[in-house]
Amino acid sequence: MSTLESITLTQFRNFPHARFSFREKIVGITGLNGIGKTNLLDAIYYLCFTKSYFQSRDKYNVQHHQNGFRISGIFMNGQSPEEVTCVWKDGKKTFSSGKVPYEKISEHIGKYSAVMIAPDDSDIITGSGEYRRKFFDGILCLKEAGYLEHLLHYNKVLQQKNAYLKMQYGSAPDHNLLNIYDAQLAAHGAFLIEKRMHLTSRLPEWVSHFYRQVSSNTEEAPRIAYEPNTTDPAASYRNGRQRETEAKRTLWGPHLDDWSFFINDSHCKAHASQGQKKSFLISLKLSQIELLSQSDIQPILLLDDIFEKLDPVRLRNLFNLLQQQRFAQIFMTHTNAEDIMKFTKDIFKDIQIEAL
Amino acid sequence: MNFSSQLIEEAVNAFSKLPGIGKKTALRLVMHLLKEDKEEVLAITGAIGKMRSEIRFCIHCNNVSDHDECNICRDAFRNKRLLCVVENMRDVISIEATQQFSGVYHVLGGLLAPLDGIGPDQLFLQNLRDRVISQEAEEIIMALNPTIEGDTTMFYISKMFAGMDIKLTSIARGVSFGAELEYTDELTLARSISKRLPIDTYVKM
Repeated sequence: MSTLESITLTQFRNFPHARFSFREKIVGITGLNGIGKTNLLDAIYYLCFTKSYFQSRDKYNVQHHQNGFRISGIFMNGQSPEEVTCVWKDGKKTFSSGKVPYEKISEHIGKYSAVMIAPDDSDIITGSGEYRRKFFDGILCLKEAGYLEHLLHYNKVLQQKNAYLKMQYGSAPDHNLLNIYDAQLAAHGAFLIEKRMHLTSRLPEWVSHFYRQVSSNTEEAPRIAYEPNTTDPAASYRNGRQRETEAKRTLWGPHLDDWSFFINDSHCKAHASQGQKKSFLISLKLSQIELLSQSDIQPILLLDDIFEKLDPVRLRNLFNLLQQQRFAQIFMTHTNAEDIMKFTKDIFKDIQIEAL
Repeated sequence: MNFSSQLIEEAVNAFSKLPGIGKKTALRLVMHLLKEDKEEVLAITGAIGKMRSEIRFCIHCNNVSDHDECNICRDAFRNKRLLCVVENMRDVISIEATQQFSGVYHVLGGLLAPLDGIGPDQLFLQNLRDRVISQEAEEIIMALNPTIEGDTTMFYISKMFAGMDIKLTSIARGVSFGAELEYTDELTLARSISKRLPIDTYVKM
């Protein structure tokens, strides 16, 4: 089990220079709006996954008018500390462990694990299918050997095929070439669909387990339905060639899959309240953690604005639930330190409040 | 950069159009040429100009050549019924360096990659078909890059000759010679295990 002992930020977002030490398993980060609570959480996420949770372009992670940032943290693996440092300067990123830089940054990924629950995550429930595919693919890439390779391969072939379909102006397309692209897409696609089906058959059990505990409501039953765009891609491509050449893009395959979330058979997207959506989301994330912990990964939990939208009963249930789970460490942000203490002090014994 | 001579500036700009050469390297090359004899420099420029204006492409295999037919296609000792399909002339040079191949080549001029604007019509595929028929080819060896584009091209060519009595083969892929298993990437190693070879074919070379 790895915990984060301290972190030092230099020119990262709104921090010119700051150092934080974490003594306890539960850390509450408090302060007014815009002071940098979420940025601190994101810095922790950055050290685990070598990228930001919120901002995909590193340029925007640098403090305004500066040309680089540095994040450095000390992780404790049992008794042995490891110093992880990330330096980004003028577009170049280096990650080092101890003082030794990694040859490939990807070597670092997987060493430390974190799970973020942030307000923007509600896109998984209310947003387009893209967010749900990203969420489920994220789990599958960690859980299933070969999934990432199949996914990358699928996407590359898809790009080539779409580019070819767009190249056709009036002239008849070369069906031999399309057959080859379709055969490759079908082979990789079938693997993706099978794994997605398998995951979707296992996940709901956990989601409803956590949902019941958070909502302390046995009336509300959550359900997840996998809606594959096609279950037999090879046949879809065979029968739909005409329509694909007219539309000039690929109309079938797992890149268009979606999932639907229900509470008591009514669609979450349309009918669930804000609080229900949030509870559903938290249950999804906790299920993700549960699946990870089956592979012996104990993540650091990062809760951004967790107090938003949840009623006091659900909050208390959530913290009771977190107490039973095996986490390396929990970081949470909120504007008010008293709220954090009020909800957590009789559940967790040692809580550290870090006021920014 | 500020030059006192317009002529120097033009030469520097011309050199810096070449791949891998920036303004400073270009200036160094120009200064070097300035120190050389005039005849020497004219010999260099002459060679470049002559290369570009007189180069031709082989009517059979599309490889670069000094004549209508390239040296390899003219070679009577080469097996014209054994064809090796490659992406470009650099691959021809690499395979020739091994001295293991006694057939003839066919240069495609690229790989199928619609994203880069290359479809079947942009490659030398039609004259491959004509050639296979006129030379009564027995075997086509595909020596293409192990990428998605390479694989797609390979499948495409194999479809072109489906139903014809021709042996279609591809170069072997796997752990490279002299490499160590420990440092071989997982994808390659996984493929090498699943496409393993009987020892007797391996030792014979």
